[in-house]
Amino acid sequence: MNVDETVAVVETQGKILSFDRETLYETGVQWLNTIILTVLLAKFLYKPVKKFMDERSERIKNQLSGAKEAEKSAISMRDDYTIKLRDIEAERVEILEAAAKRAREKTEQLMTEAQSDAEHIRQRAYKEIALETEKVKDDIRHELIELSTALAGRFAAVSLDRSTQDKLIDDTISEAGGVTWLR
Amino acid sequence: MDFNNKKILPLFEINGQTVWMTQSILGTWIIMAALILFTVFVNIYMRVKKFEDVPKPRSLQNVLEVAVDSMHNLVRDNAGNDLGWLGGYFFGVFVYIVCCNYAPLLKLRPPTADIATTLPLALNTFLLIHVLGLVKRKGEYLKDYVKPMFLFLPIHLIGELARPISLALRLFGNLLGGMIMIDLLYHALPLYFRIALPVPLHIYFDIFIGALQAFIFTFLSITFISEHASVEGE
Repeated sequence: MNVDETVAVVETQGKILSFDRETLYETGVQWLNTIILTVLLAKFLYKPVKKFMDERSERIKNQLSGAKEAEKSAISMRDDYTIKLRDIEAERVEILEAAAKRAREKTEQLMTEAQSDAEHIRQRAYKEIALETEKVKDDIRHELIELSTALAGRFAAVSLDRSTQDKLIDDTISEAGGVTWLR
Repeated sequence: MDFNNKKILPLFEINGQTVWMTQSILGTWIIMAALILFTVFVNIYMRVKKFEDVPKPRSLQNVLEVAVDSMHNLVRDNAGNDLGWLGGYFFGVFVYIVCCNYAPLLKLRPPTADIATTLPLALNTFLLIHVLGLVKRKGEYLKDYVKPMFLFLPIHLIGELARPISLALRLFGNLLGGMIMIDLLYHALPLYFRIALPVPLHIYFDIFIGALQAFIFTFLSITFISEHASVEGE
């Protein structure tokens, strides 16, 4: 086997390490492979997993801040209620006093209204009594006139002595029915 | 015993030079296909089953979350929040290297035992270091090359050029070394000892060294980028 044949056998068998044009082209092919693979792995494996993890971190961060806000609000509410519970006795007394005051005012108002109504009723009754008195007086006046007229008619019909006159007056009075003479 | 990266099929020709599908390229394509299928599965899983807020221990979701979170924290802690977006790229790099390093467990030649696989990864890091350095720090980045005085410029340049080479060769050398060690052992052992005896070596060279080298490559890349591209105080 001469040198050329040996070189040909070595060439088809491959090599461990050499720096020739063939290695350069193989390096080019492997470079292309490396770039394609790293880009694919970075874009379609690393990026989606990283994105999922980032979104989860963000979500947990938001939940934590929300929980902190809720805790702060709960603590503030608890403090408010503690203060309210502490002040509830004073508030109760205040409410009772306010209610009693309102009740007193209402009572006074009702009393005033009742007195005013009673006064109205009394005034109206006085007026009615006065009217009724006037009416009775008118009636008596009418009856007196009628009685006088009847008495004058009888005087005119007979000549009278003193005793007859008295008797006539008594009869007339008794006929009139015991009227109480009022002014 | 043959440790060569064998040629399987001619792929195409450039300027009279045939480009072959080697064991490394085939292994890379198998790993790519598996990882792409896994990614599709995860996306379908996320849409159909939905991830839970509190994942069950040992579930797929938990493993993915730990991996993603660890990489994010590693990048953020070393390069700062400003460069946090690099987490996705380094996650891809780490997963790719780990899968390549674990290929021997499936009787495949590890693609990382080939300089043609590790060099592109190191060159990506090299480009990220300098492009991000220029974009983020502008003049300050260039001043670093003449510190403490202009005479140090060649030393700085050599140091920068040595970085991708050292990154690529470290990964390549460790994986190739592990592969050779295990192959030698298989050939040295009588047939009936090959069943259980190599297991500890597989655990060490494939699983432990595989994960460790992937981590070292990723961590060094992040550190180099951070060194050049992180603005002070961030």
